Amino acid sequence: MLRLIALELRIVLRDRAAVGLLAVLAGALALACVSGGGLMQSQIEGRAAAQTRQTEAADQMRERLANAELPPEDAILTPYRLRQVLIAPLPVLADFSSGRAPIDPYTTTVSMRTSRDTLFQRSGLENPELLVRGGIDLGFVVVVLAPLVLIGLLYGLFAADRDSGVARLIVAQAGSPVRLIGARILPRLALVLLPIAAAVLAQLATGPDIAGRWQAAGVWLLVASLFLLFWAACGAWINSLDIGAETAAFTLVALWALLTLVLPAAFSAMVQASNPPPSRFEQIAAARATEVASTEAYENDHPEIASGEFEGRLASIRKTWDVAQKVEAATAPIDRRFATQLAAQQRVAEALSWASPALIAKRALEQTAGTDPATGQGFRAESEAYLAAFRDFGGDFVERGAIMQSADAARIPRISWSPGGSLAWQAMAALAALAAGLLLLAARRFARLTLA
Amino acid sequence: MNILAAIIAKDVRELRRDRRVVVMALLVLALGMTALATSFVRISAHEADRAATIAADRETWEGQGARNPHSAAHFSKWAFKPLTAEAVLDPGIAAYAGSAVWMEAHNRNPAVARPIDDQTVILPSGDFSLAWVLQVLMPLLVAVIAASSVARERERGTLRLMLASGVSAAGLVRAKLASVGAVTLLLGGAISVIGAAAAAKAGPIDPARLAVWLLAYGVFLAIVVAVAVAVSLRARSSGQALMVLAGLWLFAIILIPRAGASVAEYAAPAPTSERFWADVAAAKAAYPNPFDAGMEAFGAKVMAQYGVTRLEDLPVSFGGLQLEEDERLGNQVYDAQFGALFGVYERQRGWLRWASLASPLPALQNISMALSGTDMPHQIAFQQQAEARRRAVVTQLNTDLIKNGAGKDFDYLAGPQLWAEVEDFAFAPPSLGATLAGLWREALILLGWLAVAVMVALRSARQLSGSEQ
Repeated sequence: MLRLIALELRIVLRDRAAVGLLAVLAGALALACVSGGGLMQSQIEGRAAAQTRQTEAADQMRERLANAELPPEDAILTPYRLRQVLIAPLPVLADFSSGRAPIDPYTTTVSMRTSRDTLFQRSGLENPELLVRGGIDLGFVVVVLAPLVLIGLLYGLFAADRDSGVARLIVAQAGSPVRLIGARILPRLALVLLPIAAAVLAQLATGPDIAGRWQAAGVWLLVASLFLLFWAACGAWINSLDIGAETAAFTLVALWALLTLVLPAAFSAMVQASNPPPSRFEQIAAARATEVASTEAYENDHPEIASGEFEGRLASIRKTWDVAQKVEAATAPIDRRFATQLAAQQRVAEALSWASPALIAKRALEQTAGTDPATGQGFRAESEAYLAAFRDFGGDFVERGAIMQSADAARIPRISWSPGGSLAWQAMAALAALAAGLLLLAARRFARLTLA
Repeated sequence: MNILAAIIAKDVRELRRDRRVVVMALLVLALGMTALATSFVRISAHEADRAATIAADRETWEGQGARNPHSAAHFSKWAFKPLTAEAVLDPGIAAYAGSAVWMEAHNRNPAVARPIDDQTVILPSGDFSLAWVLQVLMPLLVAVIAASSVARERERGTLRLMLASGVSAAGLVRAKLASVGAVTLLLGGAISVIGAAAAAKAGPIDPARLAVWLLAYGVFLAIVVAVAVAVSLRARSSGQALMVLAGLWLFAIILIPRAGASVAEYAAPAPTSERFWADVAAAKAAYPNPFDAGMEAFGAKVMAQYGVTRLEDLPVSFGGLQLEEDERLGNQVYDAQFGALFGVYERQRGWLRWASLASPLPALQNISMALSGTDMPHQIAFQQQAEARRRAVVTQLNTDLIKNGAGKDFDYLAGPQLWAEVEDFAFAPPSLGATLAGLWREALILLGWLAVAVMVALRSARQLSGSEQ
C-alpha cells in the first residue's frame, strides 16, 4: 500500500496542472498567513491603545477622587467625568479565520453621556472597498480554495481510467479497486492538507502567545481536515458512479459551486428577508424627537458653564440625566426589536447552514477562532448591559445629589466578559458523518464494481 | 447557410440540449432575479425610511422652540445618504459603509448605520447582488459552456473533419467565439435588461450611466469568453479544459480580488479606530482653545478688532465668537486627520488597482460600483458634503448667536425663524463626467485585457491549424 501511495504521489507531482494548482494553494496560504498576521497585529494594537486610554482614565479618576480640595461645585460633576473603556478579549485565532473581526467593534468608551445607539458610533474606519471584497485568510483557503484544488487533483480518480479503458484492466487484475482508490486519495489529500498544517504551525510560531491558542488551533485544523475529507469522499463517490472524467469534473465543480456559492447566497437572502432589522434611521429620529422634547437649554452639553454654583450644576446634570433616561426609554422598543431580529437572524442562519457543509465548516472555524457572529453579538450585548449598570451607578449620585468619594471607586461596575468557549463538536460530528457516509457508499460501489 | 453559420447553429443547438448547461443557466437566471428582488426591496425600504426620517426630523428641528443657537448646534441635524436606483444593479460598498452622519457642533462624526452591523451572515465569497451574479457566476457558467466547445470536437474527432472540410482555423475560432458569445449575450443580456428595468422602477436612472455599465460588463464577459475558448482550443480533453478553466476562474474571480484587498490592507494599513480618535483628541487638545488656554489671546484680538478695551463692551456675543474660533481650529484638525485617512483609502485603491493586472475583475468592480454610485469615492463625497454642511449649519447658528447674543451669550434664545432657515442636507453625487474621469485607468486595463484575450484566442487558432493537420 505504501509503495502504491508513493507511486501515486510521484504521478501527481509530475502533472504540471496539479503542481500549478498546488502552487496557487501555497501562494494563497502564504498570503493568508501574512494577511492574518496583519489583522492580528492591528487587533492587538487597537486593544493596547484602548488599554492605555483606560489606564489614563482610571488614573485621572483616582486623582480626582483623591483630591480633597476639589470644590463641591466641581466634585458634583464627577459622575459625568467618569470614563470606562470596554475591551473585548482578543480572539484566539483571528489570524486563522478573520470572520467578523475586521467589522465588529472590540472596544468602546462608556460614560454617562453614552447611550445604547451611540455605544459603538466611533468604530469602523476600515475601508469598505476592501471589506466588501473580503480578504484572504486561512479559513477562506480551507472553505473555498482548498476544496477546488482537491477536486482538481482527484476529479479523474477512477473516471479517467474508465475513459481510457484502463479500468477494465484494473478490475481484471486486482478485482476490487478500493485499495487503489484509497492509495490515490491519500497522497492527494495529504498534498492539500500538509501545506495547510504547515501554515497553521507558522501562524502559531509567529503569532501572539494567548492562553488556549494551541488547543484552538488543533480543533481548527481538525475541522479543516474533516471538511477536506468530506470533499475527498465526494470525489471518491462521484468517481464510483458510471461516468467519464469530464462529467465527474463538471459534477464536482457544480457541487462545489452549489455548496460554496449558491446555497450561502440564497440563504443570506432568506435570512435577511425572514428577519429584517428595524430602521436605524427610525431609531435616530425617535431619539432626537425625545431629546428635543425633554431639554431646552445648552447646559445639557456643558454643565460646567451652566452655573458656577453647586446647586446650579446639580440641577444641570439632573436635567441631563433625566433627558438621557427619557431618550433611552423612547428608543428601548426599537433597540429590543434590533436585538430580537438579530437573534432570530442568527438562529435562521445557523439552522440553514446545516444544509451546506461549506457553511458548517466556515461557522465551526470562526467559532473556534472566536470571530463568529455570536461572539460579536455577545460583546455588544454585554457592553449594553454594562452601560446600563454604569449609568445606574452614576445616576444614583446625580439623583441623590451626592458627591462621589474615593471609597466609591471600588463600586464602579466592572466588566468581565469572555466569549463562551465552544468546540464546535456538532459541526465536526456532522462533517465526519458526511465524509464517512460518502466514503462507505463509494467503497461499496467500488467493491461491487463490474465492468461489462 | 455557410459552414461557419452552420457550426454556430450546431453549437447553440447542442448547448440547448445539454441539460447540465440548461440547469446551470436557469440557476444563474433565478439567482440573478432573486438578487435583484432583494436589492430592490432593500433600496426601496432605505429610500422610504430616509424620506420619512428627514420629514420627521424636520418637524422635530423646527418644533424645538426657543433655545440658544449653540444648544441647537449640539442637537444639530443628521445627513442621510441616498441610494441611487442604479444601486439595485450593484450595491457595492453600501452594506459596509455608514449612511448617516451626525452633524453636531465641535465634532466631525464618522458615518454610522452600516447595514453589515445588522446582518449576521457574511458570505464566503462576496455579497449577494446582481453584480455578484454577473461577476462571479456568469464567468463560471461561461467556463462550463466553453470548456467543451473545441475540446469535445477534438475528442470526437470532428475537429479534424471540420478543418479538412475547408474551415480555416481562424474561422473556426471565430465561430466558437460567436456561439459561446451568443449564449453568454443571451443570458447576460436577459439578466441585465431585467436588472435595468428593476433599477428604473426603483427610481430615476441615468441612461448614459446604465449604457456605460452595460458596456463594461459586455467587455468583461467578452474577455471571459475569449479566454475560455482559448483554453478549450489548447486542452487535450474537455475534462481537462473544464478543470483548467475552473482553476483560472478560482484564481481570477475568487482569489485575486481578495488577494488585492489583503495586499492593499497590508501595504497601506488604515489606522485602528482607537488610534485615529486618540490622534484627533490629542491634536484638538494641542491647539489654544479659545475657552481655555487661548482665551486671553483670543479676547485681546477680538477687543482690538472691535476697538474696545473690555469684553463686556463688545457689540457682539463673545461666547459666539469663541465657539466659531473653536470650530475653525477644530476643523483644521479634522481636515488633517480625515485627509490622511482618505489618503490611506486612496493608496489602498491604488494597490487594489494593481490586482487588475492579474484579473480583469477588480477593474470591472471599480467601474460597476462607480457607475452605480456605490463606490468609495461616492462615499467620501457624501462624508465630505456632510462635513461641509455641518460647518455651514454650525456657522449659521454661531453667526446668529454672535449677532444677537451680545451681553447675553448662552442665555440668548433664538426662535423658529432661525430653525426654518437652516436647510436640510442634500447629497449631490459626483457627475457622470467626474465619475468617468476617475475610471480611465480601469477602462484602459479592461480594454487591455480584452485585446490580450482576443489575441490569445487567435494565436491558439494558429496552434490549432498546426497541430490538427
